[in-house]
Amino acid sequence: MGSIMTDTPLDFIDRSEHLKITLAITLKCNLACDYCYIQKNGSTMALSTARKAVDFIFKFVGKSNKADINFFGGEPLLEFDLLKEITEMIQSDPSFDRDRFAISVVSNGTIFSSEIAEFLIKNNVALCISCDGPGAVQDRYRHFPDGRASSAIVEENLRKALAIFPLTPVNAVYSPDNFRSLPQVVDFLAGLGGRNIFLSPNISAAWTEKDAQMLPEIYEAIGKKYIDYYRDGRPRYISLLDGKIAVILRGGYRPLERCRMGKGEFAFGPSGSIYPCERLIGADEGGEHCLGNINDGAAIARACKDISGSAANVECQTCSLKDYCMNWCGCTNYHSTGSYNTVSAFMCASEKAAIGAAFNIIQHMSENGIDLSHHLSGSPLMNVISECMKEHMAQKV
Amino acid sequence: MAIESMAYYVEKPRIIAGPYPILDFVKGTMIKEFALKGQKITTLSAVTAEREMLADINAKAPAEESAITLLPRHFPGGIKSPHVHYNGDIYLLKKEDWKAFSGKIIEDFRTKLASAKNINYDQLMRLSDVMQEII
Repeated sequence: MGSIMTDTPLDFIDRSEHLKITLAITLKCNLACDYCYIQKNGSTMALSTARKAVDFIFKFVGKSNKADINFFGGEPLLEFDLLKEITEMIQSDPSFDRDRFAISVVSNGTIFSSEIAEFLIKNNVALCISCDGPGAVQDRYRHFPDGRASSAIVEENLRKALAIFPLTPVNAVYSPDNFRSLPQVVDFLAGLGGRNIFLSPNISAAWTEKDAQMLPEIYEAIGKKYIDYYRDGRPRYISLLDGKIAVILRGGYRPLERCRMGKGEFAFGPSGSIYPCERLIGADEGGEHCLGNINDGAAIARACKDISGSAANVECQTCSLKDYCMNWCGCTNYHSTGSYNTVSAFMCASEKAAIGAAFNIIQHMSENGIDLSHHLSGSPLMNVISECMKEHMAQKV
Repeated sequence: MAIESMAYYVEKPRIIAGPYPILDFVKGTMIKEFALKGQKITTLSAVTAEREMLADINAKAPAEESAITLLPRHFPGGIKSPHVHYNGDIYLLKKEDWKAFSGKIIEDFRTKLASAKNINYDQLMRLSDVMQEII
Protein backbone atom coordinates (compact mmCIF):
# COMPACT_ATOMS: atom_id res chain seq x y z
CA MET A 1 0.00 0.00 0.00
CA GLY A 2 1.36 3.41 -0.91
CA SER A 3 1.35 6.60 1.02
CA ILE A 4 -0.68 9.75 0.60
CA MET A 5 2.56 11.68 0.74
CA THR A 6 4.17 10.00 -2.24
CA ASP A 7 1.68 8.27 -4.45
CA THR A 8 -1.25 10.58 -4.85
CA PRO A 9 -1.34 13.28 -7.50
CA LEU A 10 -2.58 16.21 -5.45
CA ASP A 11 -1.75 19.08 -7.74
CA PHE A 12 -5.31 20.31 -7.53
CA ILE A 13 -4.94 21.21 -3.86
CA ASP A 14 -4.90 24.94 -3.52
CA ARG A 15 -1.86 25.59 -1.37
CA SER A 16 -1.94 29.31 -2.02
CA GLU A 17 -2.40 30.49 1.53
CA HIS A 18 -5.04 29.04 3.69
CA LEU A 19 -6.26 25.51 4.20
CA LYS A 20 -9.59 24.95 5.94
CA ILE A 21 -9.86 21.53 7.56
CA THR A 22 -12.81 20.07 9.43
CA LEU A 23 -12.32 17.05 11.65
CA ALA A 24 -15.70 15.46 12.35
CA ILE A 25 -14.33 13.46 15.25
CA THR A 26 -17.65 11.82 16.08
CA LEU A 27 -21.08 11.45 14.55
CA LYS A 28 -22.55 10.90 18.01
CA CYS A 29 -24.81 13.71 19.12
CA ASN A 30 -26.92 14.25 22.20
CA LEU A 31 -29.35 16.40 20.21
CA ALA A 32 -31.56 15.37 17.29
CA CYS A 33 -31.95 18.62 15.36
CA ASP A 34 -34.46 18.15 12.59
CA TYR A 35 -32.52 20.02 9.94
CA CYS A 36 -29.04 18.59 10.62
CA TYR A 37 -27.19 17.55 7.47
CA ILE A 38 -25.10 14.99 9.42
CA GLN A 39 -26.68 11.56 9.84
CA LYS A 40 -25.76 10.37 13.32
CA ASN A 41 -24.50 6.80 13.54
CA GLY A 42 -22.45 6.78 16.71
CA SER A 43 -19.11 6.40 14.99
CA THR A 44 -16.03 8.08 16.42
CA MET A 45 -12.66 8.76 14.83
CA ALA A 46 -9.81 6.42 15.79
CA LEU A 47 -6.68 8.11 17.06
CA SER A 48 -4.68 6.45 14.26
CA THR A 49 -7.03 8.02 11.69
CA ALA A 50 -6.68 11.41 13.38
CA ARG A 51 -2.89 11.02 13.20
CA LYS A 52 -3.08 10.56 9.42
CA ALA A 53 -5.42 13.53 9.05
CA VAL A 54 -3.05 15.70 11.07
CA ASP A 55 -0.13 14.55 8.92
CA PHE A 56 -2.19 15.52 5.87
CA ILE A 57 -2.72 19.00 7.30
CA PHE A 58 0.94 19.64 8.04
CA LYS A 59 2.01 18.20 4.72
CA PHE A 60 -0.14 20.58 2.74
CA VAL A 61 0.08 23.67 4.85
CA GLY A 62 3.84 23.71 4.46
CA LYS A 63 6.08 26.05 6.34
CA SER A 64 4.54 29.41 5.57
CA ASN A 65 0.84 29.00 4.88
CA LYS A 66 -2.04 28.91 7.32
CA ALA A 67 -4.71 26.46 8.36
CA ASP A 68 -7.98 26.65 10.22
CA ILE A 69 -8.67 23.33 11.93
CA ASN A 70 -12.20 22.90 13.14
CA PHE A 71 -13.48 20.14 15.43
CA PHE A 72 -16.95 19.19 14.35
CA GLY A 73 -19.49 16.42 14.82
CA GLY A 74 -22.00 15.21 15.84
CA GLU A 75 -21.22 16.92 19.10
CA PRO A 76 -17.42 16.99 19.39
CA LEU A 77 -17.47 17.77 23.13
CA LEU A 78 -19.02 14.34 23.72
CA GLU A 79 -15.53 13.11 22.85
CA PHE A 80 -13.66 15.69 24.88
CA ASP A 81 -10.75 13.33 25.72
CA LEU A 82 -10.23 12.55 22.04
CA LEU A 83 -10.48 16.23 21.17
CA LYS A 84 -7.77 16.97 23.75
CA GLU A 85 -5.54 14.22 22.37
CA ILE A 86 -5.86 15.46 18.79
CA THR A 87 -5.21 19.05 19.90
CA GLU A 88 -2.05 17.86 21.63
CA MET A 89 -1.12 15.96 18.47
CA ILE A 90 -1.52 19.12 16.39
CA GLN A 91 0.29 21.41 18.80
CA SER A 92 3.20 19.06 19.35
CA ASP A 93 4.01 18.85 15.65
CA PRO A 94 7.36 20.55 14.99
CA SER A 95 5.72 22.67 12.29
CA PHE A 96 2.94 23.92 14.57
CA ASP A 97 2.91 27.66 14.98
CA ARG A 98 0.12 29.55 16.74
CA ASP A 99 0.40 32.38 14.26
CA ARG A 100 -0.51 30.08 11.39
CA PHE A 101 -2.78 27.44 12.87
CA ALA A 102 -6.16 28.39 14.34
CA ILE A 103 -8.10 25.64 16.10
CA SER A 104 -11.80 25.86 16.85
CA VAL A 105 -14.64 23.65 18.03
CA VAL A 106 -18.29 23.87 17.03
CA SER A 107 -20.67 22.81 19.79
CA ASN A 108 -24.42 22.56 20.17
CA GLY A 109 -24.13 24.35 23.51
CA THR A 110 -25.43 21.54 25.70
CA ILE A 111 -22.00 20.70 27.11
CA PHE A 112 -19.82 23.25 28.87
CA SER A 113 -17.77 23.12 32.05
CA SER A 114 -14.90 24.89 33.76
CA GLU A 115 -12.66 22.01 32.65
CA ILE A 116 -13.61 22.64 29.02
CA ALA A 117 -13.16 26.41 29.43
CA GLU A 118 -9.71 25.92 30.95
CA PHE A 119 -8.70 23.63 28.11
CA LEU A 120 -9.90 26.11 25.49
CA ILE A 121 -8.06 28.97 27.18
CA LYS A 122 -4.84 27.04 27.69
CA ASN A 123 -4.77 25.80 24.11
CA ASN A 124 -6.15 28.92 22.42
CA VAL A 125 -9.01 26.94 20.91
CA ALA A 126 -11.94 29.08 19.80
CA LEU A 127 -15.45 27.97 20.69
CA CYS A 128 -18.46 28.39 18.41
CA ILE A 129 -21.95 27.64 19.72
CA SER A 130 -25.14 26.94 17.81
CA CYS A 131 -28.31 28.49 19.20
CA ASP A 132 -31.33 29.35 17.08
CA GLY A 133 -32.76 31.93 19.47
CA PRO A 134 -35.19 32.21 22.36
CA GLY A 135 -36.90 29.10 23.78
CA ALA A 136 -39.70 28.60 21.27
CA VAL A 137 -37.39 29.16 18.29
CA GLN A 138 -34.54 27.01 19.63
CA ASP A 139 -36.79 24.13 20.67
CA ARG A 140 -38.69 24.03 17.39
CA TYR A 141 -35.80 22.20 15.70
CA ARG A 142 -33.03 21.77 18.25
CA HIS A 143 -34.23 19.20 20.78
CA PHE A 144 -33.01 16.04 22.47
CA PRO A 145 -33.80 12.70 20.78
CA ASP A 146 -36.69 12.11 23.19
CA GLY A 147 -38.18 15.46 22.23
CA ARG A 148 -37.12 17.35 25.35
CA ALA A 149 -36.34 21.00 24.86
CA SER A 150 -32.69 22.09 24.75
CA SER A 151 -33.19 25.84 25.19
CA ALA A 152 -32.71 26.11 28.96
CA ILE A 153 -29.37 24.33 29.10
CA VAL A 154 -28.07 25.98 25.93
CA GLU A 155 -29.03 29.44 27.18
CA GLU A 156 -27.31 28.78 30.50
CA ASN A 157 -24.13 27.51 28.85
CA LEU A 158 -24.15 30.30 26.30
CA ARG A 159 -24.23 32.90 29.08
CA LYS A 160 -21.33 31.18 30.84
CA ALA A 161 -19.30 30.82 27.65
CA LEU A 162 -19.88 34.42 26.54
CA ALA A 163 -18.80 35.69 29.95
CA ILE A 164 -15.44 33.98 29.47
CA PHE A 165 -15.14 34.21 25.68
CA PRO A 166 -17.00 37.38 24.70
CA LEU A 167 -16.27 37.00 21.01
CA THR A 168 -17.65 33.47 20.74
CA PRO A 169 -19.45 33.13 17.41
CA VAL A 170 -23.09 32.13 17.94
CA ASN A 171 -24.78 30.53 14.96
CA ALA A 172 -28.54 30.69 14.53
CA VAL A 173 -30.24 28.71 11.78
CA TYR A 174 -33.52 30.04 10.45
CA SER A 175 -36.21 28.12 8.63
CA PRO A 176 -39.34 29.02 6.65
CA ASP A 177 -41.53 28.82 9.74
CA ASN A 178 -39.43 31.08 11.96
CA PHE A 179 -37.40 33.48 9.80
CA ARG A 180 -39.93 36.22 10.54
CA SER A 181 -38.66 36.28 14.11
CA LEU A 182 -35.03 36.85 13.09
CA PRO A 183 -34.94 40.42 14.49
CA GLN A 184 -36.06 39.01 17.86
CA VAL A 185 -33.45 36.25 17.56
CA VAL A 186 -30.74 38.87 17.08
CA ASP A 187 -32.02 40.82 20.09
CA PHE A 188 -32.09 37.66 22.18
CA LEU A 189 -28.54 36.64 21.31
CA ALA A 190 -27.26 40.18 21.78
CA GLY A 191 -29.04 40.27 25.13
CA LEU A 192 -27.18 37.15 26.25
CA GLY A 193 -23.94 38.95 25.46
CA GLY A 194 -23.47 37.67 21.91
CA ARG A 195 -21.38 40.06 19.83
CA ASN A 196 -20.45 37.78 16.98
CA ILE A 197 -23.75 36.60 15.54
CA PHE A 198 -24.05 34.32 12.54
CA LEU A 199 -27.41 33.87 10.83
CA SER A 200 -27.63 30.91 8.47
CA PRO A 201 -30.62 29.75 6.46
CA ASN A 202 -31.77 26.15 6.67
CA ILE A 203 -30.58 25.37 3.17
CA SER A 204 -32.48 22.16 2.64
CA ALA A 205 -35.86 23.55 3.72
CA ALA A 206 -38.74 24.07 1.31
CA TRP A 207 -38.60 27.84 0.99
CA THR A 208 -41.52 29.22 -0.99
CA GLU A 209 -41.71 32.19 -3.28
CA LYS A 210 -43.83 33.94 -0.66
CA ASP A 211 -41.06 33.42 1.92
CA ALA A 212 -38.53 34.82 -0.52
CA GLN A 213 -40.64 37.92 -1.06
CA MET A 214 -40.64 38.60 2.68
CA LEU A 215 -36.86 38.41 3.07
CA PRO A 216 -36.05 42.06 2.22
CA GLU A 217 -38.40 43.29 4.95
CA ILE A 218 -36.93 40.92 7.55
CA TYR A 219 -33.31 41.64 6.67
CA GLU A 220 -34.02 45.39 6.67
CA ALA A 221 -35.44 45.04 10.19
CA ILE A 222 -32.19 43.36 11.27
CA GLY A 223 -30.34 46.20 9.55
CA LYS A 224 -32.21 48.74 11.68
CA LYS A 225 -31.13 46.87 14.79
CA TYR A 226 -27.55 46.80 13.50
CA ILE A 227 -27.61 50.59 13.18
CA ASP A 228 -29.18 50.98 16.63
CA TYR A 229 -26.44 48.84 18.19
CA TYR A 230 -23.84 51.05 16.54
CA ARG A 231 -25.58 54.21 17.62
CA ASP A 232 -25.78 52.97 21.20
CA GLY A 233 -22.04 52.26 21.26
CA ARG A 234 -22.43 48.49 21.48
CA PRO A 235 -21.85 47.29 17.93
CA ARG A 236 -22.64 43.71 17.04
CA TYR A 237 -21.12 41.69 14.23
CA ILE A 238 -24.00 40.21 12.26
CA SER A 239 -22.67 37.92 9.55
CA LEU A 240 -25.57 38.38 7.19
CA LEU A 241 -24.93 42.14 7.01
CA ASP A 242 -21.29 42.69 7.94
CA GLY A 243 -20.10 40.24 5.34
CA LYS A 244 -22.03 42.05 2.64
CA ILE A 245 -20.97 45.53 3.83
CA ALA A 246 -17.37 44.38 3.43
CA VAL A 247 -17.83 42.96 -0.06
CA ILE A 248 -19.72 46.02 -1.28
CA LEU A 249 -16.92 48.32 -0.08
CA ARG A 250 -14.24 46.01 -1.46
CA GLY A 251 -15.93 45.48 -4.79
CA GLY A 252 -16.59 41.76 -4.36
CA TYR A 253 -15.45 38.63 -2.56
CA ARG A 254 -11.71 38.03 -2.37
CA PRO A 255 -10.49 34.71 -3.78
CA LEU A 256 -9.84 33.20 -0.34
CA GLU A 257 -13.31 34.18 0.86
CA ARG A 258 -14.94 32.08 -1.82
CA CYS A 259 -15.77 28.43 -1.49
CA ARG A 260 -12.71 26.28 -2.17
CA MET A 261 -14.37 22.96 -1.47
CA GLY A 262 -12.18 20.05 -2.38
CA LYS A 263 -9.31 22.39 -3.22
CA GLY A 264 -8.57 24.49 -0.17
CA GLU A 265 -11.23 22.98 2.08
CA PHE A 266 -11.49 19.37 3.24
CA ALA A 267 -13.57 17.58 5.84
CA PHE A 268 -12.65 14.28 7.44
CA GLY A 269 -15.36 11.94 8.68
CA PRO A 270 -14.70 9.57 11.61
CA SER A 271 -13.95 6.75 9.14
CA GLY A 272 -11.16 8.78 7.58
CA SER A 273 -13.19 9.49 4.46
CA ILE A 274 -12.44 12.87 2.96
CA TYR A 275 -15.17 15.21 1.74
CA PRO A 276 -15.03 18.61 0.05
CA CYS A 277 -16.98 20.27 2.88
CA GLU A 278 -18.36 19.31 6.30
CA ARG A 279 -21.88 19.82 5.02
CA LEU A 280 -21.35 16.89 2.66
CA ILE A 281 -20.21 14.26 5.18
CA GLY A 282 -23.76 12.91 5.60
CA ALA A 283 -23.52 9.50 7.29
CA ASP A 284 -19.79 9.21 6.46
CA GLU A 285 -20.43 6.22 4.28
CA GLY A 286 -18.43 7.38 1.29
CA GLY A 287 -20.84 8.06 -1.52
CA GLU A 288 -20.98 10.64 -4.25
CA HIS A 289 -19.18 13.43 -2.37
CA CYS A 290 -16.37 11.31 -0.98
CA LEU A 291 -12.94 12.07 -2.42
CA GLY A 292 -11.10 9.14 -0.84
CA ASN A 293 -10.03 7.86 2.55
CA ILE A 294 -7.02 8.90 4.59
CA ASN A 295 -6.52 5.27 5.62
CA ASP A 296 -6.07 4.17 2.01
CA GLY A 297 -2.82 4.50 0.19
CA ALA A 298 -4.52 6.51 -2.48
CA ALA A 299 -6.10 8.83 0.13
CA ILE A 300 -7.59 11.42 -2.19
CA ALA A 301 -8.57 9.25 -5.09
CA ARG A 302 -10.71 11.78 -6.87
CA ALA A 303 -10.04 15.42 -7.47
CA CYS A 304 -12.76 17.99 -7.19
CA LYS A 305 -12.12 19.20 -10.69
CA ASP A 306 -15.80 19.08 -11.44
CA ILE A 307 -16.48 21.67 -8.77
CA SER A 308 -16.00 24.90 -10.58
CA GLY A 309 -16.79 27.31 -7.77
CA SER A 310 -19.10 29.37 -9.92
CA ALA A 311 -22.79 29.20 -10.64
CA ALA A 312 -24.09 27.54 -13.78
CA ASN A 313 -27.34 29.52 -13.82
CA VAL A 314 -27.54 31.78 -16.86
CA GLU A 315 -28.98 34.56 -14.67
CA CYS A 316 -25.92 34.46 -12.38
CA GLN A 317 -23.42 34.73 -15.20
CA THR A 318 -24.82 38.05 -16.35
CA CYS A 319 -26.00 39.39 -12.98
CA SER A 320 -24.56 42.71 -11.84
CA LEU A 321 -24.28 41.33 -8.29
CA LYS A 322 -22.43 38.12 -9.18
CA ASP A 323 -19.19 39.28 -7.50
CA TYR A 324 -21.08 40.19 -4.31
CA CYS A 325 -23.14 37.03 -4.02
CA MET A 326 -22.33 33.60 -2.60
CA ASN A 327 -23.54 31.81 -5.73
CA TRP A 328 -20.27 29.85 -5.54
CA CYS A 329 -21.16 28.02 -2.32
CA GLY A 330 -21.18 24.43 -3.59
CA CYS A 331 -22.66 22.78 -0.51
CA THR A 332 -25.48 25.32 -0.22
CA ASN A 333 -26.26 24.81 -3.88
CA TYR A 334 -26.14 21.05 -3.49
CA HIS A 335 -28.48 20.96 -0.52
CA SER A 336 -30.96 23.30 -2.15
CA THR A 337 -30.91 22.14 -5.78
CA GLY A 338 -28.99 18.85 -5.89
CA SER A 339 -26.14 20.37 -7.91
CA TYR A 340 -22.93 22.07 -6.70
CA ASN A 341 -23.27 24.72 -9.37
CA THR A 342 -26.98 25.44 -9.51
CA VAL A 343 -28.24 28.25 -7.33
CA SER A 344 -31.75 28.07 -5.90
CA ALA A 345 -34.34 30.80 -6.28
CA PHE A 346 -34.38 31.18 -2.49
CA MET A 347 -30.61 31.70 -2.21
CA CYS A 348 -30.79 34.25 -5.03
CA ALA A 349 -33.52 36.13 -3.17
CA SER A 350 -31.73 35.84 0.16
CA GLU A 351 -28.40 37.07 -1.18
CA LYS A 352 -30.05 39.97 -2.94
CA ALA A 353 -32.01 40.91 0.19
CA ALA A 354 -28.88 40.76 2.35
CA ILE A 355 -26.90 42.85 -0.15
CA GLY A 356 -29.76 45.38 -0.28
CA ALA A 357 -29.94 45.63 3.52
CA ALA A 358 -26.15 46.00 3.80
CA PHE A 359 -26.19 48.70 1.12
CA ASN A 360 -28.82 50.63 3.04
CA ILE A 361 -26.64 50.45 6.15
CA ILE A 362 -23.66 51.82 4.21
CA GLN A 363 -25.81 54.67 2.91
CA HIS A 364 -27.13 55.46 6.37
CA MET A 365 -23.69 55.31 8.00
CA SER A 366 -22.18 57.46 5.28
CA GLU A 367 -24.91 60.09 5.60
CA ASN A 368 -24.33 60.16 9.34
CA GLY A 369 -20.56 60.33 9.15
CA ILE A 370 -20.01 56.87 10.63
CA ASP A 371 -16.83 55.21 9.48
CA LEU A 372 -16.94 51.69 8.08
CA SER A 373 -13.39 51.64 6.79
CA HIS A 374 -12.60 48.50 8.80
CA HIS A 375 -14.90 46.64 6.50
CA LEU A 376 -12.88 47.86 3.56
CA SER A 377 -9.35 47.14 4.65
CA GLY A 378 -9.38 45.37 7.97
CA SER A 379 -11.84 43.20 9.80
CA PRO A 380 -15.58 43.88 10.12
CA LEU A 381 -15.15 42.54 13.66
CA MET A 382 -12.86 45.42 14.63
CA ASN A 383 -15.50 47.69 16.09
CA VAL A 384 -16.86 44.82 18.17
CA ILE A 385 -13.37 43.97 19.38
CA SER A 386 -12.72 47.56 20.40
CA GLU A 387 -15.85 47.70 22.55
CA CYS A 388 -14.97 44.33 24.02
CA MET A 389 -11.55 45.59 25.05
CA LYS A 390 -13.00 48.72 26.62
CA GLU A 391 -15.45 46.68 28.69
CA HIS A 392 -12.71 44.29 29.71
CA MET A 393 -10.55 47.22 30.84
CA ALA A 394 -13.45 48.75 32.74
CA GLN A 395 -13.99 45.47 34.60
CA LYS A 396 -10.31 45.32 35.51
CA VAL A 397 -10.39 48.84 36.90
CA MET B 1 -1.47 42.75 -8.10
CA ALA B 2 -1.07 41.82 -4.49
CA ILE B 3 -0.24 44.52 -2.03
CA GLU B 4 1.67 43.26 0.98
CA SER B 5 0.92 45.31 4.04
CA MET B 6 2.82 45.18 7.28
CA ALA B 7 -0.35 45.48 9.27
CA TYR B 8 -0.29 44.26 12.82
CA TYR B 9 -1.47 40.97 14.06
CA VAL B 10 -2.60 41.08 17.62
CA GLU B 11 -2.18 37.98 19.63
CA LYS B 12 -2.73 37.60 23.28
CA PRO B 13 -0.83 38.00 25.41
CA ARG B 14 1.45 39.99 23.16
CA ILE B 15 1.31 42.23 20.15
CA ILE B 16 3.33 41.08 17.19
CA ALA B 17 3.89 42.53 13.77
CA GLY B 18 3.67 40.43 10.67
CA PRO B 19 2.75 40.52 7.02
CA TYR B 20 -0.93 40.60 6.25
CA PRO B 21 -1.84 40.23 2.62
CA ILE B 22 -4.18 42.89 1.39
CA LEU B 23 -5.37 41.64 -1.93
CA ASP B 24 -5.99 43.93 -4.80
CA PHE B 25 -9.47 45.35 -4.50
CA VAL B 26 -11.70 46.13 -7.39
CA LYS B 27 -11.68 49.62 -5.96
CA GLY B 28 -7.88 49.77 -6.19
CA THR B 29 -7.74 52.83 -8.41
CA MET B 30 -10.11 54.70 -6.17
CA ILE B 31 -8.16 53.69 -3.10
CA LYS B 32 -5.02 55.14 -4.68
CA GLU B 33 -6.83 58.36 -5.52
CA PHE B 34 -8.07 58.82 -1.97
CA ALA B 35 -4.92 57.51 -0.31
CA LEU B 36 -2.97 60.29 -1.94
CA LYS B 37 -5.35 62.81 -0.38
CA GLY B 38 -4.81 61.32 3.06
CA GLN B 39 -2.10 61.52 5.64
CA LYS B 40 0.38 58.72 5.14
CA ILE B 41 1.46 56.82 8.19
CA THR B 42 3.57 53.71 8.38
CA THR B 43 1.98 50.68 9.91
CA LEU B 44 4.69 50.51 12.51
CA SER B 45 3.64 53.88 13.87
CA ALA B 46 -0.03 52.95 13.79
CA VAL B 47 -0.27 52.14 17.45
CA THR B 48 -3.84 52.88 18.22
CA ALA B 49 -5.71 53.37 21.41
CA GLU B 50 -7.03 49.83 21.08
CA ARG B 51 -3.57 48.38 20.81
CA GLU B 52 -2.35 50.37 23.77
CA MET B 53 -5.38 49.10 25.66
CA LEU B 54 -4.60 45.50 24.76
CA ALA B 55 -0.96 45.89 25.75
CA ASP B 56 -2.16 47.37 29.04
CA ILE B 57 -4.52 44.44 29.63
CA ASN B 58 -1.73 41.98 29.02
CA ALA B 59 0.77 43.87 31.13
CA LYS B 60 -1.55 44.14 34.12
CA ALA B 61 -3.03 40.66 33.97
CA PRO B 62 -1.55 38.09 36.32
CA ALA B 63 0.11 35.20 34.52
CA GLU B 64 -2.81 32.83 34.95
CA GLU B 65 -5.23 35.44 33.65
CA SER B 66 -3.23 36.66 30.71
CA ALA B 67 -4.66 33.80 28.75
CA ILE B 68 -8.23 35.11 28.90
CA THR B 69 -9.45 34.49 25.41
CA LEU B 70 -10.51 37.98 24.60
CA LEU B 71 -9.10 37.60 21.14
CA PRO B 72 -9.05 33.93 20.22
CA ARG B 73 -7.70 34.64 16.79
CA HIS B 74 -5.42 37.06 15.10
CA PHE B 75 -7.09 39.99 13.48
CA PRO B 76 -5.85 42.70 11.22
CA GLY B 77 -6.64 46.34 11.73
CA GLY B 78 -7.11 48.49 14.78
CA ILE B 79 -7.44 52.03 13.53
CA LYS B 80 -10.86 53.43 14.24
CA SER B 81 -10.41 56.56 12.18
CA PRO B 82 -11.30 56.46 8.49
CA HIS B 83 -8.37 55.06 6.57
CA VAL B 84 -7.35 53.10 3.52
CA HIS B 85 -4.41 50.78 2.90
CA TYR B 86 -2.39 51.45 -0.19
CA ASN B 87 0.92 50.06 -1.36
CA GLY B 88 1.97 48.86 2.08
CA ASP B 89 1.09 52.06 3.90
CA ILE B 90 -1.93 53.36 5.73
CA TYR B 91 -3.48 56.67 4.80
CA LEU B 92 -5.69 58.42 7.31
CA LEU B 93 -8.59 60.15 5.61
CA LYS B 94 -10.45 63.23 6.73
CA LYS B 95 -14.09 62.54 7.48
CA GLU B 96 -15.18 64.37 4.37
CA ASP B 97 -12.79 62.32 2.24
CA TRP B 98 -14.17 59.10 3.68
CA LYS B 99 -17.66 60.37 2.97
CA ALA B 100 -16.67 61.15 -0.60
CA PHE B 101 -15.00 57.74 -0.91
CA SER B 102 -18.02 55.81 0.34
CA GLY B 103 -20.27 58.15 -1.65
CA LYS B 104 -18.58 57.05 -4.86
CA ILE B 105 -19.04 53.42 -3.92
CA ILE B 106 -22.71 54.03 -3.12
CA GLU B 107 -23.28 55.80 -6.42
CA ASP B 108 -21.64 52.99 -8.37
CA PHE B 109 -23.33 50.20 -6.44
CA ARG B 110 -26.84 51.66 -6.65
CA THR B 111 -26.83 50.98 -10.40
CA LYS B 112 -25.64 47.43 -9.89
CA LEU B 113 -28.33 46.73 -7.34
CA ALA B 114 -31.04 48.09 -9.61
CA SER B 115 -29.99 45.96 -12.56
CA ALA B 116 -29.55 42.64 -10.71
CA LYS B 117 -31.07 39.53 -12.25
CA ASN B 118 -33.42 37.12 -10.52
CA ILE B 119 -33.59 33.36 -10.47
CA ASN B 120 -37.28 32.80 -10.33
CA TYR B 121 -39.17 29.90 -8.90
CA ASP B 122 -40.95 29.02 -12.17
CA GLN B 123 -37.69 28.45 -14.01
CA LEU B 124 -36.39 26.10 -11.35
CA MET B 125 -39.69 24.23 -11.29
CA ARG B 126 -39.44 23.73 -15.05
CA LEU B 127 -35.81 22.63 -14.71
CA SER B 128 -36.84 20.18 -12.03
CA ASP B 129 -39.60 18.78 -14.27
CA VAL B 130 -37.14 18.30 -17.15
CA MET B 131 -34.68 16.54 -14.82
CA GLN B 132 -37.44 14.23 -13.63
CA GLU B 133 -38.28 13.32 -17.23
CA ILE B 134 -34.62 12.58 -18.00
CA ILE B 135 -34.29 10.39 -14.92
